[in-house]
Amino acid sequence: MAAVGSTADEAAPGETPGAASRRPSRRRDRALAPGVPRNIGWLYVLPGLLFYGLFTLAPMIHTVYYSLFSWDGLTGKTWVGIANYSEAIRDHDLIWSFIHSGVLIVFYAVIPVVLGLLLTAALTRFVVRGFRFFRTALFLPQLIAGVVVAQAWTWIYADDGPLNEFLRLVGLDSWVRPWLGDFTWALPSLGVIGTWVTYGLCMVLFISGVQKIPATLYEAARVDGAGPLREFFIVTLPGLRGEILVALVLTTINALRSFDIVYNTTAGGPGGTTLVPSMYMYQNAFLYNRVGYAAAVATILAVVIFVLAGLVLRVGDRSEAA
Amino acid sequence: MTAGRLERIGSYGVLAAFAFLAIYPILSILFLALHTKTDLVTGFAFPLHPDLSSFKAAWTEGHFATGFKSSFIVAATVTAVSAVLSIGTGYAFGTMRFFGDSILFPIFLLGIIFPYEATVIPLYYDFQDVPLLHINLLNTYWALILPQIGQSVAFGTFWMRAFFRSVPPSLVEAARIDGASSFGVLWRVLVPQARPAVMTLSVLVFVYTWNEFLLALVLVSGSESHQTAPLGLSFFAGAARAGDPTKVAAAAVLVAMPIVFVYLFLQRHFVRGMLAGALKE
Amino acid sequence: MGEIRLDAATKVYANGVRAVDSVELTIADGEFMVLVGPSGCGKSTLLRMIAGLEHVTEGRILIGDTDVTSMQPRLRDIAMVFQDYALYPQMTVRENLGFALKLRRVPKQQREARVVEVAKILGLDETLLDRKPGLLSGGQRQRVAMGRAVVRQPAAFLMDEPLSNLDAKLRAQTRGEIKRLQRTVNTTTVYVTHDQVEAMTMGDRIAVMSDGRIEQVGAPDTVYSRPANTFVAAFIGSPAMALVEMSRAEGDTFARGGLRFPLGDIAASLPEEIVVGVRPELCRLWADGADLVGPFDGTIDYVESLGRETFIGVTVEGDAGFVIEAEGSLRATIGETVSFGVARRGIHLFDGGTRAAIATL
Repeated sequence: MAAVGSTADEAAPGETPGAASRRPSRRRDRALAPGVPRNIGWLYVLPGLLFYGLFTLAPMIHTVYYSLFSWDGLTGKTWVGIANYSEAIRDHDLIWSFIHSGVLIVFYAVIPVVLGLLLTAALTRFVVRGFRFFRTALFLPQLIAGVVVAQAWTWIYADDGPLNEFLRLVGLDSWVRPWLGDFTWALPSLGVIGTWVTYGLCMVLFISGVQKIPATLYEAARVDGAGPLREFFIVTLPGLRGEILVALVLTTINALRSFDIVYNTTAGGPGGTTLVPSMYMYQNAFLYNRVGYAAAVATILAVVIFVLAGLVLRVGDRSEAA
Repeated sequence: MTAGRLERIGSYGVLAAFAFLAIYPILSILFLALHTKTDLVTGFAFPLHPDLSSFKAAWTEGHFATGFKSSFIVAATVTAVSAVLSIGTGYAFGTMRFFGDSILFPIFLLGIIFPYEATVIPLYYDFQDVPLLHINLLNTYWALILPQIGQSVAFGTFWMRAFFRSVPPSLVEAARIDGASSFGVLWRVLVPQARPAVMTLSVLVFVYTWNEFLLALVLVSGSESHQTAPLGLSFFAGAARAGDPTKVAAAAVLVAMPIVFVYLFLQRHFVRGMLAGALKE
Repeated sequence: MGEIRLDAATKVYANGVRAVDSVELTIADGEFMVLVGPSGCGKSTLLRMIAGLEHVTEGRILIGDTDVTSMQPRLRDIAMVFQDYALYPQMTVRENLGFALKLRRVPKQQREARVVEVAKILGLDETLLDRKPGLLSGGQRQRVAMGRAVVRQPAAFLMDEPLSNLDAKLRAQTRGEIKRLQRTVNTTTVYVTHDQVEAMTMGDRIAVMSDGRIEQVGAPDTVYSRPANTFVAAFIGSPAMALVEMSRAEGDTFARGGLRFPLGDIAASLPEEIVVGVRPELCRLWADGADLVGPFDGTIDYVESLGRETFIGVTVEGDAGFVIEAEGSLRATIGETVSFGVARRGIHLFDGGTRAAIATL
């Protein structure tokens, strides 16, 4: 770039001296003021980029690379091209694991967002005093390590744990069951854990978000004759668009990465009813010694996460422009 | 804004209920942990005679002294290094324009939603025999520290860039006119102002790193002295639960405690982090 | 040493907008030059080009004898006062003032002495020196911003609307102080404002800008009494000059609808379409015997009574607007008709097509 600059500064033969600087600059960089840090930006970015590239990006590419082989982790690799992937799309276990994830997404994302919106709607009509106190409690689940969450809820769901005791107390003895060991109920039980983990975040996000909506909008709606329901759809919901989007992205990703909780509660059982893709990947890589296949599963999972996140954001952008 | 008295009470009631439910699970294992091994514990298990023996047992048998030490070393290192690196990258993306920046930044953003599931397999094999260096990093602190710095820098870049963009450009211009170099502007003018943002970033990274499980499970399971607290808990629970649920509950409470304390004291940083992130999205 | 020269300076944005269009301007050493114009006219952009905060697309900028066009701001020996002051929030006033000197490795004692000296010049009390900007009033912050520029003893001061964040009274007071300060240190100053009162009262010369070009440069009274075109004529002076388009009628008279305006001998050399410019002080209520063109009958649109004088906005023949200046407080009702005349001397004539000035009667 320096070379281009210097030739541009000299007058071409035949031009009067000084004409060079009056010619339009031919620099292709984006017309930055003199002395504005230009490519020195790279110097600041490099260290961070190094770690990120070496330990996050490169391994991702490496995973894709492994997925093209059949490998047990010990002996040599055998090239199989996309055979792992064609097996994957026919693999019932894998397909079911994604379906299970889908169910979890409903519990982790959809239900909490709806709960959050309902609660927010109920609270917009007046200022909540002492909210900071509630907020402290509501946020807590997000910060507890997955392993600890697993222990706590294993206890709650235990045969002699609080949930069953509560059911017995209110006379619903027929509902008592070994929740996390039940073929039908294990997955929903995990789902409820997920709802517990994320609903507080949604509530806090929305309630704070609502406080940023100008009170005048509500007043205008009220003067126009809108009742509480209309108010919600006309003022609250649009005003929370950003927050809802973020909540959906965060909670969906939470759902897809629920390895910690699954591993420490049901480990995919009973009978594979709570198998999720991350668990399946772990099993293939470190228990069944099918490293190549596990890599393929990991790649598919990563792609699904990226696509989902992208979709949610795209939908958000478009509805904003609409 | 007139809402009926009943409506108010009802709403507060609902809010309180949800808040209670949010902390109940932790409460329930706390109660469980306050019993001794021999109590027949069922259901709500309110401890009438609180007893700390389970905690003592859990601490020693679960080797949590080592676990906490490992967790702390890893989390502190990752936090410190990521913070420094993110200030640099955030500064670059937030105040400068350079070749390729519009492609590079979205690449960093990707790292925020990156699952460790996608990278854990190669990390396991590559750490066993590091290319070029031919050393074994498996079952060392490095195995946990390096990848987590990588991912934390992705979020940190996003976070610090947002901060740097919120600074009035005239401040940077004034410093440039006064004669500061790009580093001078960063160090003398911007960093002093960045303390709240860096605090929040550090707090979030620390908690996230402390709680990380999958990486620890795959990369340091082989060495007990390097196991992080959550990993230790997982092994301990697997082994001891059938025999002594109170001990396991105590262990779980122990592992959660540090973060809960940090949270209670530094609340506003957490909340600011979670909420502000929403706006910048 | 502090002379600033703009040689065909141009700035074109990526989308093709010419923010500054081939500007030629020479500012003498020690001169107080005001760049004035409406929003978007390019005055701030031009100032930032001189500072080195904007890339110059074409042309040159010279400070002293040096071509600084591609030079970094810190090498240009200029100091800038920003509209939002841009004081470093976590530094004390003392540190803010001394920052540039510190960067240039001026020894601490010298630095301290200079800071105290400048604080005195600007009327900043010693107790303020150890406070942070957040604890100062708007006016105090403005002084610190100026102080930061003065401390450096640069070849030129560049000021970007430094008074616009102050309330009206403070603004008027500070105007005078800035002017006095500039006289004391005798540094070339380029001052940007959209307020023509500031321009008229502060500038040695003013440059009126519009759409990236300089419409006219000159001393304030020259620009006032001999505007180069209708834009300058309308922009300078308050209330604004009345501009009425007229076409040649019969003899020496130009007309607009039913409004007939005799212009005397000069009418012969005028083009077919002209614009007649009349300042309020030339429009007087009709009095027989006074040397006035008229009488004209105007319908009153508004009345502004300012105590010492009253301005009456009228419309003649439906669409020609004039503003009459009357002495003292006058009561008049909107909608009423009033008779007025225009003093012949001082009427401005502009070409109807090019809008350039032709003559002043």
